[in-house]
Amino acid sequence: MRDRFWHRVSGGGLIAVAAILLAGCGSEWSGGKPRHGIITMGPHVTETVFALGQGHRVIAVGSFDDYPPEVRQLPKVGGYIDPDLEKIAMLAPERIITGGRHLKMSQFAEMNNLPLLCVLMDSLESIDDGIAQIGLELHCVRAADRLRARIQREIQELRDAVASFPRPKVLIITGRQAGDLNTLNTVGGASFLSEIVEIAGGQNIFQDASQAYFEASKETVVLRAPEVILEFRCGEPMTESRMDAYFKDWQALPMLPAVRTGRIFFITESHGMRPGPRVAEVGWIIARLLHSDIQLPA
Amino acid sequence: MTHLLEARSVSHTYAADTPALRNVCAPVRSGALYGIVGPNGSGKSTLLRVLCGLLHPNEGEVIIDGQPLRRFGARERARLIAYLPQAVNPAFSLTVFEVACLGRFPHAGFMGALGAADFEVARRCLRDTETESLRDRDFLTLSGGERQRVLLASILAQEPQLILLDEPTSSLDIHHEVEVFDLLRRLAERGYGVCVVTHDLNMAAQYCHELVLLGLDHAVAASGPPAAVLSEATLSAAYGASIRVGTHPFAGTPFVSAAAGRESAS
Amino acid sequence: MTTGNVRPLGIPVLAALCCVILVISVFIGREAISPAQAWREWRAGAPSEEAPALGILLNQRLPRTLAALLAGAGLALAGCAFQALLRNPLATPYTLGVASAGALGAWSAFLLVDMGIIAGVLLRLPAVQVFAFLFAGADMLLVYLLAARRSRTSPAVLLLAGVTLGMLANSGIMLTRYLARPDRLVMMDRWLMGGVDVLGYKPVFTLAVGVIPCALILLAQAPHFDQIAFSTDLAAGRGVRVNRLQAVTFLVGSLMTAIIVSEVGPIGFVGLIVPHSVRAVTGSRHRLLMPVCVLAGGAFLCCCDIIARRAMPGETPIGIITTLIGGPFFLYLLMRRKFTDWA
Repeated sequence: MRDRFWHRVSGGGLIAVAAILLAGCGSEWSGGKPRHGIITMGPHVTETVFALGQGHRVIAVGSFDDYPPEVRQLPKVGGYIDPDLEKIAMLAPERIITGGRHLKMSQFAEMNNLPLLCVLMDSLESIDDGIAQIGLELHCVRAADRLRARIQREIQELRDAVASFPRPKVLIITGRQAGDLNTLNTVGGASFLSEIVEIAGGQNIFQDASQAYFEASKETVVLRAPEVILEFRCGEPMTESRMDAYFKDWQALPMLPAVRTGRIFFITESHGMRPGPRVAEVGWIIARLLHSDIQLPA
Repeated sequence: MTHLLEARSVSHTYAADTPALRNVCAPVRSGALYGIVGPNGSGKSTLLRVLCGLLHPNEGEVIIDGQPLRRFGARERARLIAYLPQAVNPAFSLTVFEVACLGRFPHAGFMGALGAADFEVARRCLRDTETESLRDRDFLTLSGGERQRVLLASILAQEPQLILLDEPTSSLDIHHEVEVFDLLRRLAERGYGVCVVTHDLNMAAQYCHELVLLGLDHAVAASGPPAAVLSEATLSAAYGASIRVGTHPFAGTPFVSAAAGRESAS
Repeated sequence: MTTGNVRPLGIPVLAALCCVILVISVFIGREAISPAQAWREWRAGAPSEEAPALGILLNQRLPRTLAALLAGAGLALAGCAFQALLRNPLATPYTLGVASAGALGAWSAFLLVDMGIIAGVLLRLPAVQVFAFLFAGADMLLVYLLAARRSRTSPAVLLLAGVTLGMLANSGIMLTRYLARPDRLVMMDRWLMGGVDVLGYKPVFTLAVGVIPCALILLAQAPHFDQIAFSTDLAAGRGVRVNRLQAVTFLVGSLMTAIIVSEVGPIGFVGLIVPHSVRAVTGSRHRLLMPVCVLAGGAFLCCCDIIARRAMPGETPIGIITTLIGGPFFLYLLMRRKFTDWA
């Protein structure tokens, strides 16, 4: 009996060792191939690399990356939570750039001696920093400087354009379930969206909140009486009837000035919440919603 | 008023070709203690479940006072016949008095409401089984003998005419076993019809007025007074083993003993 | 704790306590609203736009208080009934996978709405709610059909089938989670934490229509639960129709839980700890235990909701509060009480 037990144990052990060896070989296959090209993961990171004129070096992107249009032709290597490490290994890139830090990715890069750059872009300031970092990494510092200057200029133009308008109180919704107002996810002053809304000439009613992202109390919403509701539904396929339904959901809070005047807007552009090079473009979209008679930029 | 509960030519099969009862006739009359005996798997418990109306036999009928038992409503039936199953394992703790009150279920009013009269019955039944001193104890903390007496109080609280018990003494020591059988005999003498499934042939011989012996073929091997049923020939045939019968040294009733394998060859 | 001398005096006392909690609950919230201000607005008869304080009291705090009372009462009662029915102190509808199945339904709806396959509102109810209800109901029905036999339903098979279906639903959740866009995960995760911060009376109405009849049916079975929890066979001998009781309790309890879960999310732990905590005080007679569970469950969830309103700057998911408060309290009870209390 004991003998058979140990046979089984050692047999299992052998299989395990073989499996580990095979797996090890798997990850080393790429070793033979010369490394070339960049993998960018994260919609805003990919967009930035293309905006820097380095798009031709990109060989694969993250699953949710969609801009500029040529990105859609490139192979996908998974999303933020589930990078496809085997595929990445097979593609043998010379470097990887990701938005935000990812433990599995970091371990993978370290094991394979791959240069990995993690840029955190979640505010106007960190967008600027991130572009500079990517510029440095890809040896295109001058292009990065030009892009940074352009974004600054666009933002300043927007600020100037809305300067003369009154600043409406805005309720920013980053997520809620369709059909009711049971959960209202909103943002505080420390968030990227709040920054954009301020630049676009609005006033976040939760500017003073200590948390960047949280669930609004509807009592506070009622007392702070927003004049405009901006609901971010980025990338959602939006039809007339669906928009209507979302609009009607707000009738549950008829005392809100925004509901009484019907100033409830949905931002459906896929880059509406994306802290990337098109941040000023989003700002303009919001500005036009907040101030209907604003002068469009030349 | 005397009552007569009767299984008439009852046959039952649980699944195809595994019979449990075959053409069984068995009576339970007020004022007598009946014993259902027989080897394991002969259908004793099945017969008891049939007798108290919990199991409808494939063939035959159970008649109470001339009427088919099936016609009775469940609670109406429970006011006539009380059934004590073999294993009672409560999921949650209750006090002894609460357990006794559970017996009032077939008599309870709207939404199980109990009145002062019901509590009085429960108290009386605890007195009858000499468990009144335990009334505030947790049922789960009682010893086996105490539990069995409290359960008896609980089914007496149903105020039934007939009491059917499935191996009420199987987990008790000899002293408590005698106590329970004494109690059952007293109940029979007070006019209840009592029927008990038991493995203990000697207890059955001492206490029961009548026995039904089921054989391994699920049919009645013998029935009648213990002295008639408990003969070496019938028992050996029913149990499929060699069984000796002598005379009980104190009670003078038949004394049954299984012969060991070696002796049976001789 | 004897039957003879303990009258259900606790019930009026607890009912009064519930009313007190209800009143307190209406006057505690994120924003300080003085009763005087609301009274002035009431007297002035101002339209709702100009009466924010009154609007908050009547259209937010009162509905959510009622929703918490109804949901808490229903969850506690269903838990109590299932514990008796399955003769198992661990059994609640949640043990049988109803929460996981509801969550899978809700998440599928999130996904389908995002992909534009279904509308956000079905049958004038949020699609998420409709799907959560359908999935939760389907789970319970499937569990029942798997375990139901002609002679008798086996509690062990019910539990095993339920736990397995719950696991299946969980892997379904993982799949929907994997397929979803990362920025939608926040909303989907949020659903799992539950919330009674309803707006207006439509959700309260849905809850009331679902919970009250089911609760009455369950309460009417109280004496039967005493019998079946003591011994199934003995109960059958006493005239309890065990099969019918199992079917009715299971289906009614599941229906009630599915409605609650679909309306306020899978709020955990209420169905487990409230019945046991109440049992510690009232004993196991269901005629007392079940009504007290209804009141205590409602009061408990209502108190948790008051905390949920005040704990953090915005709303705090109530599921977190029930477990954070209920868990340690329950452990304390387990430490204090003798283990023989649960057979």
